Amino acid sequence: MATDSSTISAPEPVRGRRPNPRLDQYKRTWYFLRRNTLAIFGLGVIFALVLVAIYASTTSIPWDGMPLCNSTNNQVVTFQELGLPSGTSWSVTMDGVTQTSTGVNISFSEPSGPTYLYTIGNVSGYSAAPSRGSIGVGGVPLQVSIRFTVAPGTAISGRLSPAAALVLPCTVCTYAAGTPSPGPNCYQTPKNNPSVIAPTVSLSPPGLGPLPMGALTLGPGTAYFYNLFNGLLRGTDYSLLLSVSIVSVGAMLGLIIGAISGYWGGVVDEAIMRLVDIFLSIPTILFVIIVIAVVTTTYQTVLGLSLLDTRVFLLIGGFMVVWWPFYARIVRSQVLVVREQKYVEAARASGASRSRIVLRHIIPNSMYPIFIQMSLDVGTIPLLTGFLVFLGFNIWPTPYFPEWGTISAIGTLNVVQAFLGACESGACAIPWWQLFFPGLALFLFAISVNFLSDGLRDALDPRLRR
Amino acid sequence: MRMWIYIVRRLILLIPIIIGVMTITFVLLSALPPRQQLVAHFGEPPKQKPWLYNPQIPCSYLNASQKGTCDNPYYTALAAKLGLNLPLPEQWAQYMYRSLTFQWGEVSNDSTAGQTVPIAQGQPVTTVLAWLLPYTLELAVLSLAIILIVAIPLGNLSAVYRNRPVDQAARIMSFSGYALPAFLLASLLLIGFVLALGPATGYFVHSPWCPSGEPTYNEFTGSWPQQGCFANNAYPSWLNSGTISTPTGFPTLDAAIHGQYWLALDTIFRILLPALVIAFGTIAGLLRFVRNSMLEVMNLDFVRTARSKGVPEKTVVKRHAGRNSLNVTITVLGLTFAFFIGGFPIIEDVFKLKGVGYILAISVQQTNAPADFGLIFGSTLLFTFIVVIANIIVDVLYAYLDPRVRLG
Repeated sequence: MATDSSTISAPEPVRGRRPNPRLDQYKRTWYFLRRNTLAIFGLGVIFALVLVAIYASTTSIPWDGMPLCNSTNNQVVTFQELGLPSGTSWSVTMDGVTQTSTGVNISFSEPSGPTYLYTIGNVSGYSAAPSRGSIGVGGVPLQVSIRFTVAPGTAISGRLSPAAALVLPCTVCTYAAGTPSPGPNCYQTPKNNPSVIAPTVSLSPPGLGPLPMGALTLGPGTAYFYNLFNGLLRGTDYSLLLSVSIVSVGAMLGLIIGAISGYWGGVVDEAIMRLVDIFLSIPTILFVIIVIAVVTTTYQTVLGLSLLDTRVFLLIGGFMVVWWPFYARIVRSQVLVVREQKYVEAARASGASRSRIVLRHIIPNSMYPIFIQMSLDVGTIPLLTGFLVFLGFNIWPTPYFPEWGTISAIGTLNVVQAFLGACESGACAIPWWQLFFPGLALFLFAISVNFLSDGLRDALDPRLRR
Repeated sequence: MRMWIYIVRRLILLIPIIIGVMTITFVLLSALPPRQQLVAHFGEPPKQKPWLYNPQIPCSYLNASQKGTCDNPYYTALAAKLGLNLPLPEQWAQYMYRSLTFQWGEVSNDSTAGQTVPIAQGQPVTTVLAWLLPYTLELAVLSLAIILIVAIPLGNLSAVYRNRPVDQAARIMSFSGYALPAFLLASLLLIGFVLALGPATGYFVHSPWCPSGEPTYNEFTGSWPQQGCFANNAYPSWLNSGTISTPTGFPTLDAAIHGQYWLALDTIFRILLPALVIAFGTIAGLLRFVRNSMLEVMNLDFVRTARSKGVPEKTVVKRHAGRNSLNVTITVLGLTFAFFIGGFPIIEDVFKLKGVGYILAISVQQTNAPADFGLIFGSTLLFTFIVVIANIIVDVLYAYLDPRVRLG
């Protein structure tokens, strides 16, 4: 059918996809954000940290532990059992000494140098692999994983990976104080005690050399240390990844549940809000502690993940379970406003299904408060993991796990311990760098994120912009 | 009258919350293997009988002449007592009954907590928590007081003087509260105060300005300090008698009841520093909300009306805007209460205060001895109940402040 188009000129139809109306909003947000110095500072710091994280993930430092050094010549050899039910007694004989334990670890302290033979004692119903062997002791503490399997051939399902192996050895060398170090991985020996490699607490302050930020001793009274700079560098990508994953998973869940609750209303809304109330009454940290304690007591690993991945999974899962209610509440209150808007009505009038309205109209328009809350929370996660470690609760399979919260908790404990021990007896030597540098990293990260989220809030809220 | 109906309605709504919370702890508890569930309730088995919680034991343990493996009668009896052989719904019902009647199990002898606090060994968890709760409550009340005294006026000020130095200072304070971990701030404050005041008073952790070395009213030994914060005070006569009369259990109140006002003041002084640290973290969260809600209220019509009537600016801010922005503050405080309470373990651990947080902090440690699940679950239930009760109080306050809530 031919139409007469000469008299009425129809508006030119737009070809292809219509331009996204939210694009203008993004541009406007960026315009106002750019004028906020603090927000741009925060954005810059976060960008730099992401670059550091990308660099760190390409370095040769292992993912699940730091190379340790020992400041005495005795080395600890730790045997770790995998696969025995908890509470089962097992034993290890090494260098003529037999130790029995019902726990996971059996440790020996042996002088460095020779190679020692070890034998694993029989456990009825299980066979150990390896059941005997030899181990050369020197330089670094060692960890041997002994895997027990049910005797008549049936292997335990799932992948049990051994705990972190320690790789880089520390070179022991002495040189005069004040002179440059003769080589990499070479640490100054304290005066008066040549058999002890620095740094014991307070003996290796930061400076140019092998330890630019000093050393982190592992817990008060232990002889092991690692390079704080390496730890923080390596911890960057780990901390960022952990924070972002916890917060984004929690926010995603909260977004969906909150949107459903706000849009459906009625009984669904009431039920979901009661559920939110329940989760909001449980103290966050305690819930995470209980989840990790319960699951790791019952099972060493879950879902066939490795030891470390199990802990990460539990940490993310635990935080997620207590975190989504916050987001759900925020989203719900936003959805209650959005669902009364004209464009939602229009969508409903043109016959859009409920799920389409929620997914395409309501969720995209109630996202902004979530972004602000997310950016606030991202800075909090490393603080909370530090909180757990500071309480003495083992979240990681190895105490020398490079994560900012963990590092700063260990450093703070060391400083307090040194302070209480040394200062009360008059000789005050505080390893301040163990508290300062990790604290600075945490502070910088959290405060940049806060600056950015504050800038975002100002840029997005037209009433505050005046 | 309307108020009472409102309160009763809120109380009824609390029932599903309490049931839900306890169901969550039940799910976690029953995820433990039966052996660990028995340990959580009855404590570790005695050293002479490590097999006490094994379902199957060699018959020779029971009767020296028999051979083979037998069912462990002790295990059967204990498991029946906890209802471990029942189907899950019945176990759940039993758990609810036990939780609501405060049968929360016993402190284990060999756990880290039992080893650190020998006096708590074998005691019911509720008894141990009841000893310690007053200390934590005093700390909570003091830090709440600090929060309310600082956050509301400062938030209002930074709204009134927006983008002026006061506002910027409040903003910096708020951000650093978010960015500094509580344990770091607590340690720094502790070290700073002790270094600054130590030379004059002697080094001391519990409160740097007090010369004596032990906290007032040590719950674990039931003893009062040898010397108070304000030195040269006479040793109270009722302490010498050997039996300590503690009518309320709250150290401050007890001292005041006995007429020892310096001792009461001393107790407050000792929890001042930890209370400040706890308050600082919470103020950070609260300050922005107070400021924003105040800004919103200041733009409303009734404030403009009041101004145009010629009401002095001071009265407008205080009576008209301030009173109305309080609603939001109270609500946010109720929402963050779970977070606020969760901060106690760290602070009590750093300042060595003997409270519920401290016992929780040592009961989760599993480096040298097993963790104490009885105490962990018990103190979680306790903390959750505190949060729930705090939320009732917040709701009632909210209804009192805002008539629309109870009438609408």
